[in-house]
Amino acid sequence: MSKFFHTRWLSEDWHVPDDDLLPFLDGELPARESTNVRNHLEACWNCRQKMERVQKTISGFVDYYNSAYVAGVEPAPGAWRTFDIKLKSAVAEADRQSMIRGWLLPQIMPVGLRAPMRLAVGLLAGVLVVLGALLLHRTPQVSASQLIQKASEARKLQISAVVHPVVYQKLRVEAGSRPTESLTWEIWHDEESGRTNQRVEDSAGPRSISPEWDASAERRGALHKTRKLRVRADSVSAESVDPSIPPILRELHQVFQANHMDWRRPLALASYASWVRSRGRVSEEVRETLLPNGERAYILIAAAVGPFAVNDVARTELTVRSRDWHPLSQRLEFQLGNNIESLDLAELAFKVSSPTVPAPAIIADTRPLAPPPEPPRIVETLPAAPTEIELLEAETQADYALHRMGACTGEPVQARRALPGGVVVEGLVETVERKEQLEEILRAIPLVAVNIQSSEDLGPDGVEPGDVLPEVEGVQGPPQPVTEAIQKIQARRSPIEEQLRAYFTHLAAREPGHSRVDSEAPAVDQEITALSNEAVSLSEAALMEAWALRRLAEAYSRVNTDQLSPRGRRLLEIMLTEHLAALKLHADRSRALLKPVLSSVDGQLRRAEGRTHEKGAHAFDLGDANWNGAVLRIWTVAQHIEKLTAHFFAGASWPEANDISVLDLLEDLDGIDVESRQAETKVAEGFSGHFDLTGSRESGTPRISQ
Amino acid sequence: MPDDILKLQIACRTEDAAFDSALDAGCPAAVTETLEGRVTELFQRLRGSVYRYLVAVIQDPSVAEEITQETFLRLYCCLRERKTISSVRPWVFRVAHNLALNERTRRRFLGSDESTALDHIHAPSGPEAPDPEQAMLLQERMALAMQQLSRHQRECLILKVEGFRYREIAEILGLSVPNVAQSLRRGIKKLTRELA
Repeated sequence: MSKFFHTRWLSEDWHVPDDDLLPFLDGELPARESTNVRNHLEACWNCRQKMERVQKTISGFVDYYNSAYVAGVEPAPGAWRTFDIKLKSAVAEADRQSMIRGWLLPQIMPVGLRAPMRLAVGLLAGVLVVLGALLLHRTPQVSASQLIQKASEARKLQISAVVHPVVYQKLRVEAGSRPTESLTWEIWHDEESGRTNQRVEDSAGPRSISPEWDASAERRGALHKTRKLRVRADSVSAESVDPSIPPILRELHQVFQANHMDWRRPLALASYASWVRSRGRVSEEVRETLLPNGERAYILIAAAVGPFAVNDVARTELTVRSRDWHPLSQRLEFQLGNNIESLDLAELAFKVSSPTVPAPAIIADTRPLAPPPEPPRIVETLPAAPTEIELLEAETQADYALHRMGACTGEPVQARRALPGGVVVEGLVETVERKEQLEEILRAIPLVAVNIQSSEDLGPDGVEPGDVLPEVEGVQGPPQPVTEAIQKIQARRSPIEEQLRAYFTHLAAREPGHSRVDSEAPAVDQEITALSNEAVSLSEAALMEAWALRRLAEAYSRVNTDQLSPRGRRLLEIMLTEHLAALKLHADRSRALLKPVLSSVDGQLRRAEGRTHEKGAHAFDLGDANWNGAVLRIWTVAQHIEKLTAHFFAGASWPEANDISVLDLLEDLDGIDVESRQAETKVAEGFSGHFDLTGSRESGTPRISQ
Repeated sequence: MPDDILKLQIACRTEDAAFDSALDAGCPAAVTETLEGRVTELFQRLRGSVYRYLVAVIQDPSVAEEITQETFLRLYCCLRERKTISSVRPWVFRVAHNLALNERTRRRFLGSDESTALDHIHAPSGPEAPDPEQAMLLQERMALAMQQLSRHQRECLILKVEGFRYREIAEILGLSVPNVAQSLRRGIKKLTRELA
């Protein structure tokens, strides 16, 4: 502001400098200076006049701006119609990018690495190792609340995937001050009925814990809580002590109960959250770490504010694997007398299964549970069988990988369920390079086995590049390319060749500067050939997209989209919408190309045959309830279009040629547009609920215009 | 006020644990739906003022519309990448301004005329003014006076009338705060002289 302000404002001949008037009016002067200017303006007419002049100009400018730009500017020429579509594209692109960045790109990169690159990568790896060590100590991107939420959701998802779930956990429990007393604790918990069973194994051997003891332990815990008494397990009266219960386990139960934690769900983040809520003031910190097997994990460290009663947890460390947000171990530090004691729980096995599976059948027994003569053996070394959700996820990911690699529209490769519990991608591709390319991507997907053959693998009698690939057992190949059919039928004449010739001749005659010359016929032939080629190739491209859509509809016909994980649902939605968009593009181009020609041809034929305009034979029923039906109808129409195009433009035979006319093709081209919009709506309804590539929303059942 | 609401909304977004965790967990359906909705809402709230500013700066309604849409698509990408945006409205104007500058440079490079005619603007009228003719004359003089201003002076005045503080204008135009104060002061001085 004014450099003389601070020194001269008290003098009688001082006036507000011009530089300060506008900032004063805009409220941008510091408070003290603003007060001084205000005081001066109250007394000085000259300065007030200057200020009023500035205000008048501002007022004039605001009037001008409001009338010229706020009220006077014309509405946006496009009326913002394209923004929704652009935003949808940006969303789809961002999804695709995140997928590529997430796992596709890292899989592709090694293929392109050459010797110099490898040297550079080696050097870079060295640097990264050093940086990695440093990065381990950096603050992770996940907060404590996010960690709790993710782990809770992951557990919920895992449990919800099984009908009547029984959670089995096997843990190693150690007391910090008495490492020799460590034991193995197994617990089965029926999530629906709440029934629980436990077994321990320590130096005295394995034994089951009576369910009665659990109940009494809970009662004791409740009693102690009510009376604000926190006593050690060994101080409980002798008659209530079951000698078969190891002291560590008793201590653990008491700590869990005293801290509002659920001992039936050890390590569960819900228990941790319950403890946090009961303490009120807890400081939390999340650190990144590496597990012994090299996997990344987070350690959630929480410390409560004292004072602490007996058995109150003062501090805890919970290790959660970042890959699947599964908690692996926990350290509980609690008050015991005047000291802090610790208990360490480390998970050895975790499994969610149904009681119909024999392994955890122990839970199905009625209470009290008699010790089984042969304790059920949970085979820890065997991985848990994949759940239906995991298999679906793997199948969807495999389909999506094939989609991204362009294998879904032209190659007989597809993913399907294989026994026992997995997904296999089978099929045949032309070259070994292509096979390796697909294998590399697909092998990165869990639960997916790859069994792709290349025509080169089939030996000297294998398929030549460009040949139609033979069918692999169980794998549905794409429709035979129309161009193959065309090559065989090119010798035949198109049934509308004369009309096409007349159309193009008429068109040439209308061109300015046209003069009839003898060389006109070859030019018209060229026009007809170019039109036929393009029409056939567009119908073929649309058929391929429709074929890919049909394959998805059939593959997911048995699946309710609600059964898919959010990620799987999104991937399926992306595949469907991209195929629909591509199909619409081909259909639009076909329509734009053929409509004027076919309208003219139809007029000529009607005049020659003396008939009036007739409606085509096709009527489209658009009333299907789900996206599968809508997609399968598109396949039917696309097939019809391809056959009609081949008939009219490449002379392919048609069983009852008299029953069809070019109007049928025109109506099919209109129909596939309506069908694809209908399918988009159905996909939107079946998935995210509001995805619409066209930006318009169909309501009710649209009819084909005549 | 709207800007405060916008700030609050973005603040809520960054503190929304469910939203962030869903984004981390790679389940974009719910996330993108929410984010899309929020960006669409912001677009509907702010597009009018951004579009006005762009029309005033680049004098081409079609391009102004394009740039307005592009600005909000960038906002979506930015939020999707979880970049921090402390204040949405100045951010949106800054991006729109930068895109307009790029467009201006492109046009200059292609040799297209930078029209200063305000054909797309309806003839201004002052319904509140007692004498419509006099009001129209005043508006015409103001339009001519505006053309005497430098680009920075014009942009500063427009942003000021759109309700930005000096600090925000400086942020949008990439200038210092004293520069903004000086441009505004000179702009007003020039307008006063032209209208006198």
